[in-house]
Amino acid sequence: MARSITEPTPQDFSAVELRGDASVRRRQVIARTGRGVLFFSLVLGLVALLTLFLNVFDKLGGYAVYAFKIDPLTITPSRPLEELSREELLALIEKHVPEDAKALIPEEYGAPLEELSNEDLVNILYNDTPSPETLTAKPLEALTREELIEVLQRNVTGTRFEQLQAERPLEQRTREELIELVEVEVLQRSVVWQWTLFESIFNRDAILAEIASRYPGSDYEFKWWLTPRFIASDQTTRPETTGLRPALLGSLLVVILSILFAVPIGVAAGIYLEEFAGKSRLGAIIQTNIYNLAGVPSIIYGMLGLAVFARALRDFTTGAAFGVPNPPPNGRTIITASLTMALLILPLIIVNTQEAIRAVPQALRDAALAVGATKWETVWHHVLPVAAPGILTGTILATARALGETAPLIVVGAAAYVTMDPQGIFSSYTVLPIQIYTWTKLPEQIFTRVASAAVVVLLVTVLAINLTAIILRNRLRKQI
Amino acid sequence: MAEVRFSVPKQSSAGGADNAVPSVKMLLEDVSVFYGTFRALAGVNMPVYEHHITAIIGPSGCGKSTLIRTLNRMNDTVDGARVEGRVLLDGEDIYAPDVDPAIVRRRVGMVFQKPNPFPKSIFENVAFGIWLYNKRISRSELSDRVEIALKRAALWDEVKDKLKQLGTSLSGGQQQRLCIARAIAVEPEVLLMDEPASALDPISTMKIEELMLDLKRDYTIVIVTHNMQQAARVSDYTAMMMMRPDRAGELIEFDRTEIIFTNPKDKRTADYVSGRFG
Repeated sequence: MARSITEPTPQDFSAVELRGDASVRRRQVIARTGRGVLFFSLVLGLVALLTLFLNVFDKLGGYAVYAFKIDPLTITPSRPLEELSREELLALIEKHVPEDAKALIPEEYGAPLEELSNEDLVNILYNDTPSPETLTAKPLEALTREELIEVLQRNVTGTRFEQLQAERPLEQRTREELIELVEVEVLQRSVVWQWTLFESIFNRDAILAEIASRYPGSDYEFKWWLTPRFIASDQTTRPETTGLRPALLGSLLVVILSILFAVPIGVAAGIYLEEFAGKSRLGAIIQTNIYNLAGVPSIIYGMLGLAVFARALRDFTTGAAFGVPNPPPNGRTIITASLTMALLILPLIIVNTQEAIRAVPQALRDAALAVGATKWETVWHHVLPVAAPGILTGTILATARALGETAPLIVVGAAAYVTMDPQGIFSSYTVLPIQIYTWTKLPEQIFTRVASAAVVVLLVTVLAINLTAIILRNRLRKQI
Repeated sequence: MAEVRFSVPKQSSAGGADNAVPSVKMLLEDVSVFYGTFRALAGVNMPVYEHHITAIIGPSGCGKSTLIRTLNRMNDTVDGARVEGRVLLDGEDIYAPDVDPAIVRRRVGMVFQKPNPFPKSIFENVAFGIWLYNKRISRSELSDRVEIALKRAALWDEVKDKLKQLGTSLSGGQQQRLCIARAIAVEPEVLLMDEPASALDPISTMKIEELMLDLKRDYTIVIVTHNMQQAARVSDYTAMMMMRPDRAGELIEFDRTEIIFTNPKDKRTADYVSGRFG
């Protein structure tokens, strides 16, 4: 063997300096620049995320100015002026009739005040006070509990009254709660203006000054929209009283049902494809299609659901075939939504199951086969237990996807205004994202605050689900 | 020890009158293995003698692992793998159409290069195979058989107090002995070992080798090894394999181990075992 290449001598090595080589310096500059670009991308992403969160949180609360749409005195019990005694009438005139009007009385009625008949006194009150009907009304704060309940009964519409009774019977509420209820429900105490959270925190003095000048004497407070009451209440038409419960329960039902439909089928299909199907042309085509299905725009699943579940299978999805009374029109039921959502997450679950199974080392299969196990026994006893954490994680992530998905449900008909909880799988329904969308669309500006509160609920739920997935995965992995 | 014929016997000579020639447990007849269109193994003829250790040696890529996996149909799990020729176990072709590969693997057990215990308890690792073929077995009988297998694999004393621990929590050498216990728990007739000690330290290797010498009284053992000394130390027969120019593996020499290492017929064998190449 002839050596054609001369071996490097010690001099060759020492000729390379430790610093100052131009080409190496240039490579290091490229390395630093590359690192800078990567870091910048990270910062940009984080800033975008932070902005999103701040934007949502900014609307969650802040100083709010209230006004009653209805004068409180018009709804509290009062006595007709005709029934009052002479002394009471005189006292009222003394208190409520302006001085200049009082000076004109002798001229108008041809006698001084003290000599006029009761009838004339009543007339004076009717003519010279701005709201004569409310002169004898008791202020709200002076009412007893019984009187407050009576006011509510008289002025709140039937269905709303039932809703309130269902939340907690009025008889069990304290007097302060009843007053609050009257203010909100009857007097329609509404937010006329609200500052954002950050304005309220950083500009407090200016806001208080503005309230004093623009809304003198108004009721104001620091109002949060995300309250336990908001989450637990029925939906109403007013931002102050509306709640999230129907949408929350609707989402919960739809997601649980779609998981029940999609997980068994998806996991089974994934196991078959990965462990039993083998390699064939047909298998490759099916595989490609499943990957593609996982990326199909969700609205298309909505169209499919509309055509198949809402229209073609209407008798089944409305429960009409099972004799359910009063089915919602057009198959707009929980079951339609669940089936559509199940179709949407099915490819995700299949692909995820396949990936989880593929991650199981071949050595494990070999081990089971080598002691004489059949393919089924190998998969059932050894592959699946190891793949289970991965399958579970993917399922939970699919749940989060189903929870946040909106487009297909618009198509298959989630209702925009559902005041009551879903009554079963054949009930009409709404879900969180649709509810948020509906609220942001309403002309009343203050509903965007309500929508923000709902957004936070949805975000927290989705984050909690994802967190569960991560914790479960880590814990199950540790066991293996 | 008498001379053994170098040429491969064409028929099973089990129960032959000649005491010096051991009976043939397995016999490969013109075995070729294909992965798709690639021919990995070309026309191998070779016996596996009962209650002896047969070593398969040769440089990387010469088809040693393919050959040993052909002996219990493990290659079935590889997509597109195909076997030509006959592999006889007690005179029966294990690739015959009506043969159940699960039963073949039960009779011809295997230990792999990397220890691969199930991620389950030590007990379950050994019990799984026993339970598969006797699902009504009582708990106590199962325990007894697990204990026997673990004792046979020289692991019992080390694990008897922690049978509920994960098999994967043991050291590498213990894991490999657990895998041997798992393999012999189903009472196979042949034990295939694909480089069983290559991932282990010298002391664990020594234990495995002692174990093999002990096991050969009850089992027929085939071992693939890269380690010449190991082949020389433990095996009775040695098969020397090489890669042909078309990259198919072929058997170039099969003989008693002392002949392969001291007086091989083929020059390539001589070069290989003396460390001149490979």
